[in-house]
Amino acid sequence: MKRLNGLHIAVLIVLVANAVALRHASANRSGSPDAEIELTDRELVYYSNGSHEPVFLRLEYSGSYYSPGDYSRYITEADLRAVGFDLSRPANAHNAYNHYRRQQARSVIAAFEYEGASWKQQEEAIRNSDPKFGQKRLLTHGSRLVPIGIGPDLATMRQRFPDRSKIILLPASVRVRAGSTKVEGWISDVPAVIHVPHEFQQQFRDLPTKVRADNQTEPLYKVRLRFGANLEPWILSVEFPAAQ
Amino acid sequence: MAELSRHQAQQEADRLNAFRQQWQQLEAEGILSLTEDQRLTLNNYIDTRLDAYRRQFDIDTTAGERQLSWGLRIASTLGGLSLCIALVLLFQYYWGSLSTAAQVGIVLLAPLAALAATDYAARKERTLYFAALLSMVTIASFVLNLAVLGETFNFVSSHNALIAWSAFSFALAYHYGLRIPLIAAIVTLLAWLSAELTLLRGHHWLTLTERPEHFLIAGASVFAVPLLLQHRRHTDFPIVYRMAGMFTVYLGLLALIASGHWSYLPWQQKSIELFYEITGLTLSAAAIWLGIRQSWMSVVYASAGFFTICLYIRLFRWWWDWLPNYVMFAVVGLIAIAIMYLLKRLRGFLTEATA
Repeated sequence: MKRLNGLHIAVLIVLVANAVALRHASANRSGSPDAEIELTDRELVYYSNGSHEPVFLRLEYSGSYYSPGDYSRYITEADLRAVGFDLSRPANAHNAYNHYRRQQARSVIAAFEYEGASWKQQEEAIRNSDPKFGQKRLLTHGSRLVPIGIGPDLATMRQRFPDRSKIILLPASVRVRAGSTKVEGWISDVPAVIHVPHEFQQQFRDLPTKVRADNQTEPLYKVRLRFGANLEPWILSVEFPAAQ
Repeated sequence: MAELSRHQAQQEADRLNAFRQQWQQLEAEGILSLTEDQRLTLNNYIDTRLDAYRRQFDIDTTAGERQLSWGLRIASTLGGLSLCIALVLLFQYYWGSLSTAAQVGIVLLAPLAALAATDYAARKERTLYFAALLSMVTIASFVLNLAVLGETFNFVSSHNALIAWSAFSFALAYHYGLRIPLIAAIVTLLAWLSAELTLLRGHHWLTLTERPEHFLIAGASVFAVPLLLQHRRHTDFPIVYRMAGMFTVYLGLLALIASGHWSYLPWQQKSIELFYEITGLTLSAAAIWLGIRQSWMSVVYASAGFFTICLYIRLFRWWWDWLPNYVMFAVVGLIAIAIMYLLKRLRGFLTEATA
């Protein structure tokens, strides 16, 4: 048998890597899904770089870069300890800032609740806020997904949050900082970009407007998402209510 | 001659040319006197050897050829980079028009097609300039392959693609004897090692740059590879490992010297920074010594540069706050002159050692 040389090995690597990737995609989509949920343009923001380029939806949650919000009350110190942070120093102690700044982000599973009690509390806070901060727009345009907890693994989190139609679990990272009265955690590195399948892309491109008008309450689109065993989502269906 | 690598053959040709220039110079100055027969024998010997090297390895045997080769290398690198960018932009432009099955098929075939083109170019042209250019496109195709699959199926980001890209680049580098794929392989391997160490400690892999100590370990390991693995066929690879390992270690040290709070050490930030300054100075001095011993000139010069940077940082931290600025810079200038003098002495010592 001919000996394997570098060229054969390179070809093998390409084939094996692709096989592993496709197997991973198949494993995610087989079996029972972890969650299935319908979200709107408030939570899934359209973006594309051109008429020929792929269409993506960006998942927004309360407190993410484009959607201001305060979810720190839901990430408790017990949660932060459970994922491995060292909270031995009180938030107002000497050098607490450096103690928490030095800790690297932890990989976690984060729970996001859709239009639940956490969103109702945020709505209340926004209605009572000073109009000069311009937060009233969030009542009609802001994301209704609110992070409500973190944990070390999927099994623990699903036991804690069993509602698969209202609460989605996503991998994320969490950092800590010393707040004024307690140690706070904030979430980042949530996989936020969702590829739109080819069969729906042209309908998104044909939308007359990609952003809801100020006085518009009807969604531009509704997207049904399913999250698989690896917490990786795919789009099942898309509805365009305004076009109907 | 069959046992020489292309790199060794080029070095041998350069030495023969230098030797010929030197004895002709000595003859012209009347220091050396050869008979006509001896001159003829020497010239014939050198011409025969150079001719044989040129036929077997397609190397440069004259100064003009060397300059052209440099031009070819630069053109090959720039051409490769441009083709990689063109490939990415082409994918981005037309991607949305294709079905998922077509997308998956194209990204799978692209690296295989580029690999076939690289292999064809390597068989047709012994100098491997076109193969080097195409190898960059092949690596870019494979990176695009896995990145696009991840994007299409909404994969959670993972560091595992790095090890696939590294293994692929190593296979290309060692099969064709190309240094650019080797550099790509080492860089992705270093990133994967740091990401793996980060993950093992329960942290998110994207924070792989937040503990520069990972890169000290990984960089030292890469530096040690040629000491553990003989490169009889690719004699120009050890220097790549040494430089890559050394720069990784030095960049990691610089990061820790600049900001100690990213260290694993449970000390005060200033203490950590001072510790790594001393480590940096000691390590670079040791590397200079090792470089002189082993005649690794690149190690000597890079380490001397790093030593100087560490020294400047220390001086800046000592004096910036309490010396007038112009005095501080004057003192630093004098120290630079002292370092130049030392390096000149070092150079003289090196010349004696290699004589």
